[in-house]
Amino acid sequence: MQEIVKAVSSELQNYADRGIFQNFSQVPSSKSGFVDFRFSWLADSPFHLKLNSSKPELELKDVLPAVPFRSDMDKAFRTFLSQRSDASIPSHRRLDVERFAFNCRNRQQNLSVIIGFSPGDAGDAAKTAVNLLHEIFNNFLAEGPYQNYMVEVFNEPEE
Amino acid sequence: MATENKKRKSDITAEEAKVSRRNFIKGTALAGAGAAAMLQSENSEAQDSNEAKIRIPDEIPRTLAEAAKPANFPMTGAEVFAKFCNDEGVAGFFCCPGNYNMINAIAAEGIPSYGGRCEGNMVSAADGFIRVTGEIAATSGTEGPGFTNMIMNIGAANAARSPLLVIASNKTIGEDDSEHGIQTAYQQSQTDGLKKWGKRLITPNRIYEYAAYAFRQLKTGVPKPVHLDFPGEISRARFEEPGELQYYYDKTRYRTESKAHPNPADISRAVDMIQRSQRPMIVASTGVFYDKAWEALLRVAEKNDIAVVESAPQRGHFSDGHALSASTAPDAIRSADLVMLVGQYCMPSIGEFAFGPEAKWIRIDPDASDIGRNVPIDLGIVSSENAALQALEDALPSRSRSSWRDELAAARHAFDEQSEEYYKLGLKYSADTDSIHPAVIGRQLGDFLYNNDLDREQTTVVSGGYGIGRYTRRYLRAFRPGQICNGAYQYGAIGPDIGYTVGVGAAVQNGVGPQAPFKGSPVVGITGDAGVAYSIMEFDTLGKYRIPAVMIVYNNNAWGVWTSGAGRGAVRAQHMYLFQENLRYDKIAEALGCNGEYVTSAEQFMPALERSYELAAREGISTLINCQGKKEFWTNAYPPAMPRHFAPGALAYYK
Repeated sequence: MQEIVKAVSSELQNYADRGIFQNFSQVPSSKSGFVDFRFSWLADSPFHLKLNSSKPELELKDVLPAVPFRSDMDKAFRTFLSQRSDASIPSHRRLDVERFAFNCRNRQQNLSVIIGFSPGDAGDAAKTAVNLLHEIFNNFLAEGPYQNYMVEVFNEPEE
Repeated sequence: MATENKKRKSDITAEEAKVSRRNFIKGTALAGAGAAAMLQSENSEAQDSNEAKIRIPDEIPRTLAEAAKPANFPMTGAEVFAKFCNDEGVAGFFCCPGNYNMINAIAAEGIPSYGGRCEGNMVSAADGFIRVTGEIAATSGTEGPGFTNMIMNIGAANAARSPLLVIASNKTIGEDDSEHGIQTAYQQSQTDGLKKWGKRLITPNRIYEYAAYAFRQLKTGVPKPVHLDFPGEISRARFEEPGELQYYYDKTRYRTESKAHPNPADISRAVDMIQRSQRPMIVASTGVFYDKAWEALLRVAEKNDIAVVESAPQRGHFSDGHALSASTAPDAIRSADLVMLVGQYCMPSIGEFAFGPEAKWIRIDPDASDIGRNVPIDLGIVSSENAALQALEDALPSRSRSSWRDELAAARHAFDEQSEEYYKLGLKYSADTDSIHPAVIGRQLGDFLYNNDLDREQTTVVSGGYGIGRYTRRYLRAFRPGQICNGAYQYGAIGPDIGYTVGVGAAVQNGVGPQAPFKGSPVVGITGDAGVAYSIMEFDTLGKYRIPAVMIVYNNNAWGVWTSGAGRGAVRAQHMYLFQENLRYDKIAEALGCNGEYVTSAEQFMPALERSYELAAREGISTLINCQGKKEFWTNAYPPAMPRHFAPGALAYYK
């Protein structure tokens, strides 16, 4: 499990070192095998990437808040996620469903994405999570009718 | 749209013009050099029965046609400065009266000069002129009130890094602090943060010296506005001979044309990074345009198959029609693994540009002190844009990247398909609501400008507005330098669009810089009903100078941000965001001696556009097309509602 933590941490630290992330921190959880990573990047509020090294899996926790279950946005996001592994997506951005398992969860109107992986793929799983986060903000939220959502939820300027 | 059909409609328009009560009396053809050759005095719009005709007074064409009278010693301070501006190639001047000695001297020097209705709009006219020509323009206002009217528009020029010369009169030194008379205001502190450099001139015989200071700033490094204010003691001073002026010598001695060239070691590193990259992309920004580096850019891109996306207050320095263009390929922008920012003076922060987290960054900029700001670099190169691109061209091997080209083509195709989908939705929404959706305006405008019998490089466009701009940007294209002026760039000012259109129109009218091949052609401007209110009086300026423009106004009866007053717990707020409905901006244009069109359905837009363009091309008469939409189009009841920003590229709004 420590190898998994180390691999994930190393990958994420690399983004911080390159200046992609700001305010990167790693907080061990009281629960065994869990580590919380926090960083600022594409929005004002920090992102929360939760590692469960025992399963192992990474969770983009509450990546899209205030999304009612089975709402249009909830459905659109699930569709978007499933389409990211489509053959029409360029290979360098396609989600690799052979190596990783992607699941979406909506709890109390907060959408999270869980990425399951094999122990040997921990580093790539972290990169996959980060790149997926980028696609969520610069693709899903950019292309869809989410101007008002971004203003209300992420405090994006009206203009 | 069939050419035949278009001509037929134009003919009908001409025929109607002979009998209609809107009888536009023919003005002189516009294709003259500068403002001087443009006018006849009998322009008018025939009015109902007993009303006096709107007409251009004789003095306007007469004084525009007068020969220039460059000053020679003995000269006033104003004449010294005006002569200096002329020697430095100031290509356009936009003002409102005030600073009288100065504006008269500048006009007498032969610099194409325009007088408008509001100082702020004249600042934007100069700014728009600069953005599509790359040449320096000047603007002027009177003391306190005129000058303070200019502030918002100076701010916009500053954010766009326009080499704008702001001059304003400023009472007299002798009256400082006394509040004697009227219009006293200390100016320089008011442009703090909105300029590159400024000075209140207080020593008469240093006027030439400080003019040199100003042009060193305007013509070197990263441009921004320069602000000089002239107390009366300076502009009225008299100089009998050159010896009375300090530092009086030629421009080859007070500034240099020399530019920074890149360190060869940096170029080697850049070549190595480019060669390791699978999907390199150049962001061709402001500095590429002002350094006139578009030919070197094209050669570098083609030599190594490097994609290019634009990001600047102007577009066209890399053609949207090129196979390596990513400006209309948003999805490919997300794929780039190496980003080269070239002349990106207004820096995005992480996340503002859509590049992914794995991308490496090279920044090429003439200002070392800015490299590394906001976006962490993997390599910084201090150089003029042109010199760096030429060095890269020399150092890079030829290379083909077929899969990258394929991805760019696929992304452009996907973007076009999405645009077509929006258009179909727009047609439906228009029909459902008895109005016109902005996607319809954008798509049909694009068809008219680029898929018609017009040369697709011909028409220069001021891409403005707020909500409307989110759609029209999708359909506008730039095929040569300076073809699009991005109005909202960074500062996001709502209001200057008609001012920009005056300046862009003047640039095309005079055939300045990249506009030369299209001298005299109509220009198109786009704005919203919020924006039009700030500058609609400049239709008088368009009219009196016979600047041929077609101004499209998207009228949805509200500020673009009206949804902020409609939800989110807002109480007693909605009224602040709304206007009276169905306002007739077209009639204001008519009342200002121009033409008006009123469009309330998708079917009416193209014929109105055809008539307007024809009128502008043939008679130099501008038109305001008032397009009646619905504010509700910005809500999720009409997806995609208000599309979000995406940068860089054609959709970029602020950067």
